[in-house]
Amino acid sequence: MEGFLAFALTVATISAIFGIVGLGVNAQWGYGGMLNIGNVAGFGAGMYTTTLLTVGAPGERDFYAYGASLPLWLAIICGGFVASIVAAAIATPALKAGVSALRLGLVTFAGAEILRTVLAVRLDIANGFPGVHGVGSGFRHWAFDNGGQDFYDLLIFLIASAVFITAFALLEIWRRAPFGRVVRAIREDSDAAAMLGHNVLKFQVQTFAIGGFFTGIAGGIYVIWLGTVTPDNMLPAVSFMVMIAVILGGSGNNWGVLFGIIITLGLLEQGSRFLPTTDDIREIMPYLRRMALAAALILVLRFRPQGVLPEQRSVTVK
Amino acid sequence: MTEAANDFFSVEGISKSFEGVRAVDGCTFSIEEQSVVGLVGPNGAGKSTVFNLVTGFHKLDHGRVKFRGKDITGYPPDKTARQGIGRGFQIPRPFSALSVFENMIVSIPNQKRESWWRALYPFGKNPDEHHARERALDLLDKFGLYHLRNDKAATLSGGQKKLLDFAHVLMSRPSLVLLDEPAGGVNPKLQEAMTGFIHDLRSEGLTFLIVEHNLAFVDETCDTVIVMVEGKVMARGALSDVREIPSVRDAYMGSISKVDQKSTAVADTASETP
Amino acid sequence: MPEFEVAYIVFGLISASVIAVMGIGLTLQAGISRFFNISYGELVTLGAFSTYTFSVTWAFPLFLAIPVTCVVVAVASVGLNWTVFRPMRNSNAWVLLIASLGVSFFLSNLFFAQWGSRVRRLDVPDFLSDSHKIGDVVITGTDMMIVAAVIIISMLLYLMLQRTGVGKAMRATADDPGLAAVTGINPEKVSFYTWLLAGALAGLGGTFFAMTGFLEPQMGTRIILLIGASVVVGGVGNPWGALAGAFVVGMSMELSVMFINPGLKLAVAFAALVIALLIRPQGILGQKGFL
Repeated sequence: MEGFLAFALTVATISAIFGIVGLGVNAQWGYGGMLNIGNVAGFGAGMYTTTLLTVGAPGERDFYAYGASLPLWLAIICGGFVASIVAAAIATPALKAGVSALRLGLVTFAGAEILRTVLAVRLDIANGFPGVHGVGSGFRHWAFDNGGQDFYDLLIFLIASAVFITAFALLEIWRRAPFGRVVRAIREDSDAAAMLGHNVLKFQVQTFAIGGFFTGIAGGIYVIWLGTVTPDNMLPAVSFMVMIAVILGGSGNNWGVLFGIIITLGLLEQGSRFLPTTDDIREIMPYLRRMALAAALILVLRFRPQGVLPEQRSVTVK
Repeated sequence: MTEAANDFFSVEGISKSFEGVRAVDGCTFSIEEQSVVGLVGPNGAGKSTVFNLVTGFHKLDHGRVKFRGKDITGYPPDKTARQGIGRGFQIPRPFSALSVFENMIVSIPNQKRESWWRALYPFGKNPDEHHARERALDLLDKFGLYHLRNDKAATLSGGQKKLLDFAHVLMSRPSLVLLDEPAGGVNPKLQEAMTGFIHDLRSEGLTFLIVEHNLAFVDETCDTVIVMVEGKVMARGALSDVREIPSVRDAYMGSISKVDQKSTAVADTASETP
Repeated sequence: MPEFEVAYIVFGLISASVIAVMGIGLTLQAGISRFFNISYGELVTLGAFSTYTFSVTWAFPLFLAIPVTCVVVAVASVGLNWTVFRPMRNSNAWVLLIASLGVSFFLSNLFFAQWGSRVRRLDVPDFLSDSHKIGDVVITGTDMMIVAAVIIISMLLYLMLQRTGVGKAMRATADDPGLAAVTGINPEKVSFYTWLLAGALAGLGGTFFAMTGFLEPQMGTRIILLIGASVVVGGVGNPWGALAGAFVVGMSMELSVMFINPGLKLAVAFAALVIALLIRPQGILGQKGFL
């Protein structure tokens, strides 16, 4: 595939993968009002779990202790569950203490950084800073043998978008179900919700875990696509980008998340290659793009804090 | 007081201090089923704190709370509510971003699809949800909010919020309803309507405990009143009788007539609402 | 596992001093503006790069570059408040937090565009880089200068907060903004001086941080959690709390080396932040916070 088609496919694949992360974060923040500035913890947990469950036994240059050689699909699902546990483990003590959204944001931010530091320093988990390479190489070889690069790219896109659509559908069902209503009510006033008989902590932890599950699944697909994982995949900038996309698009609105992710991580990150540029500018282009994104976020917060597409009503009675 | 009365709802010697100040100090009373009881007293007497203690919002220092023969002392707010105790707020706290209708149907705990995994096989019939919707619309109709059902709760007027606050508490069919100043900041016509609702619901079997400063409203609405002063129960009986007790007059009746209703409400909000 | 040595305590003190300079700035600003400013880490980075530009690129003497940097960052800090945060001051706390995240993202990418991702070091004069042996502990002139600077800053800050009108107004506003405004304190003026002071401290702290290590455009995100830890441990809005918090964080980082991998020092500081947020949100020298 050449030119525009290849570009469109890359944008679509990135949007689908990070769209899944965005949906997970939106469940936590948009539905539940629980700020997760360290959402990359779940994403990274998914990446690392999938890696360690798919790679074979460590080679001569590897330091990691164990590789399980499981099939990809199983590893990705396990990645989702591990991510869900990691996200909930970071957030639960804070939720239990009944902290504000701000403090929860700082706790998750710090939690994700602790996880990244540990993964970078401990060689025996996943090779530390250099990371693990050749993830999903069996699958890649199979796809290349059967249809080449284009087939492989298309396959990854199809998997990612199938998962995205499933996640979207599930989260819409939850949003409209009594479950979603209660979660949103807790976001508005947790004390009042408790006095109506709802177990606030249970709903919050469940929502956090559900969001974490999807970020982890996305991480699993992403690591297969990249073929490699390093602690740098978990830099706070990744969390920031997703958070920015969700808030820009519209907290609580899954269509808004899709819109935000396509605009920010898809088009803005990938699209600038079509701008006529000199070499000087090309070099700093990624930074300029992110500056534009940050400026857009600040303007949206100033003039339309609910985001471009605000939250919808879950039910309308005739 | 009969034994049966004690069986329905009672608090025994409940106490609570905030930073060394005793807000509620060994307060004891009980309520009969299907009665409407007013809880009155001067500012800072600890009336709203009693509500916070009964609903489990604050932890008790001492004492016991019993409801329908069961000791519910120390139950957290959600568990207390599920026993059948509903609570309205002095300043109504509807869920602002939810519609009026959503505010109603969200108020039933333990619905089937409230669990996240059951939400996943909803395709088809769900009788619970159907009943909840019917009941919500009936109540909205009764409280005159039907035409606002799809509006965001944040857009309601103060009086409408007060009505919604009352209405959604009824969704879970509580047997005891605690109301904090249902007549506060509400116009006289609506106050009359409130009295009507309360009496209707009582005849359906509900019991009410009402904190209220507006004595005219209390007189219209409540069978008996409990007078609280400085965290203790000072007297109990029909309002007309209690009024005549000299100590009550000194502590409460004398002052309340001079105090502007609005400023009372504001001062109470600052000190007592959760 | 290394044995206990006095050196760890000394290193802890030095780390604490570097953190304290920035922590005092952040806590003052957070106390007055009532939000947690994630972009403060980027002001610190700006301070480091400003000193680098003046002293290395343009070859100013270091002791001229430092005050110039303080002025530059102080002006940048006030400018940031005026352009971004002040117009939003009536928004929800989360809006301000996310906005500061956006500013942080904007600035760190600006620094990348300007300075690239290369890791740099400051050149310091010989008398600062020379090592001195005191007992069993070897420290550099830079270390001594930083500890001395923190002591001087603390004394000046004490005098300012206790004796000057602006200082008293700051304390009153941090304590109770509503009451302060009623008693005739001009919140705009207090806010202006606070951001100015916070910026100057960020410039100085960033320079110290760079002098004891290195500088790179992304250091802000690491530093903000480190400073945040000291601020939250000490109690948001209280400069003496930040000082105490910096001491706790610095010591626990350096002493943790005896038990765990030295690469996890930062993780120890972040853990302190999490624990403080969960157990004692009002901090050691607690006052009622907004956080």
